[in-house]
Amino acid sequence: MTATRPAAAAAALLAHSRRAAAASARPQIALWRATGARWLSSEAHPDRPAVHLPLGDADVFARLDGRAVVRIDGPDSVPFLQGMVTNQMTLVERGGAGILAAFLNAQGRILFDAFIFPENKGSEFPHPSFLIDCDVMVAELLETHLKRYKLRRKIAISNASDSLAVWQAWGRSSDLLWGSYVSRDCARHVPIGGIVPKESFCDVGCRDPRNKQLGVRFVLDRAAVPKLPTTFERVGADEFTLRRMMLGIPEGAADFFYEHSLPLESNLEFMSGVDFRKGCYLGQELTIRTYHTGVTRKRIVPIQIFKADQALPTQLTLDRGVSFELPESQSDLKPVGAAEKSTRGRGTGAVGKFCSGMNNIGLALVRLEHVHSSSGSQQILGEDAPGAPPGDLVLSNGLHARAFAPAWWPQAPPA
Amino acid sequence: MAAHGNVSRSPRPASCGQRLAEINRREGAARALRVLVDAGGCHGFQYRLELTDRSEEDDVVFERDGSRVVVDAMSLDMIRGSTIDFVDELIGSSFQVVGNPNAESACGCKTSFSIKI
Repeated sequence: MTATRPAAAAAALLAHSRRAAAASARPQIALWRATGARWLSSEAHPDRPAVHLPLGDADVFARLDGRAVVRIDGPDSVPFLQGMVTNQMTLVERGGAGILAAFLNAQGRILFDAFIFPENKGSEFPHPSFLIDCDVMVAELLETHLKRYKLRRKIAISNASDSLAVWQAWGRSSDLLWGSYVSRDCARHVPIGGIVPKESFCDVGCRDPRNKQLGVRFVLDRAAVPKLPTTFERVGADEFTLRRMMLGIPEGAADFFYEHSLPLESNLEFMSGVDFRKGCYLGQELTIRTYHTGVTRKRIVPIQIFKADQALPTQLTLDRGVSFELPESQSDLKPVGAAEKSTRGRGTGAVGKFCSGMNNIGLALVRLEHVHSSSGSQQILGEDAPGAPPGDLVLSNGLHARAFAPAWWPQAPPA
Repeated sequence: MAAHGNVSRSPRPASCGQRLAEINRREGAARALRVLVDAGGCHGFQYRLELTDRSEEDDVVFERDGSRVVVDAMSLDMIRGSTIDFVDELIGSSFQVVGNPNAESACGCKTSFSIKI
């Protein structure tokens, strides 16, 4: 973690270059090896959100203010969390990059989706200390949940949201951020063959395990601004939400219905959030049984929302000019025309539930026979009437929606 | 089973107290059965049963047939009203916590349970 300690000569050089940097009009100039970009000083980051296509590859970053951080600290942290989450704690036991996981209840329903980051620092490293990055709306519930199962475990549970903040950086060079050490600002002044002091841009985080296109997620002191290469531009957290939705990645309490959602229906295993080989954890029974039956009839997918009189969308396209009034999380989605057919007696006729949305796109949990493939309108999955194209859906407020399967989903080889 | 004529099962399973006394007599010890509730298992909490000769400050001791069961205060809250039995089944014989009125559901292996809140 720590940079190589420079020799005395290099230290003098370092001090010299720092003085020089302070005097210069462009402080903190260093080489960003992969991109050739320069480091940006904190004051140069524009606070105004810039406009980017949500699936473009421009380098951007955002602070995710909708996230809270809960700290679990103490020698029993790993065995305690191992019995509570869907993913394998041995992956983070010895520090390093974080993982995605979910906390379930005894019935196997999701309580919280969360990132678990080892806190890779401190004088006693690797003293077990973990940061749990969760939706701010359910942070208190998470704390209560953890404290209920603490019993005699030697751990301390505390909310660290006042001192820490969660960030996300994505774009074409974001993949190079995590795990690579970059030269400090003096690098240009080191003689050939000299020792170059290096540092990582952040100690706590990971490459987003849910999808490559989501870049890097990391945790910093609340007062800090990420030291990223100058190619990175700051945007609002909504930009991340849009990108996430277009990829069909659920996150937080609006997408994971507390005590209702199931891990596999919520794509948790597609997002590297479940280890099917680990031993007992809270809620394992149903999860592993579902996995071995090999059948999931519903999944969370991106939807495009449109008015009934608009042309049918053929692929997911964001329209920033639109701001629909969207229904509440967990409200029903029905097939178009279901109102007339509701006498069939199969419950409410709902084939899905709305999760969250923005502009004209959103996420919804939808039965797979009502999902279009991302390339066209032919049916991709589901059991009823193979070959028949899936119809469109109606939200509880009357808006129409079409569900698309994300292109990154594992595909069956062509028959 | 018929081939193992010498294997006999008592018509009624031995009670926890009798079995415990039997173990102590065989090993020449005077140990108590400690019942603990820990977080873990697929339903959140699990029973841990062990033979012990140590006692802690907050232990509550139950005595029957000259045998002792000790439970700490924290665990007692979660198993109050249960029966500790020695269960002799084809799958194996073991001490078990049965009929826990605080448990809402249990996992297949019966060691893990969830609590009524």
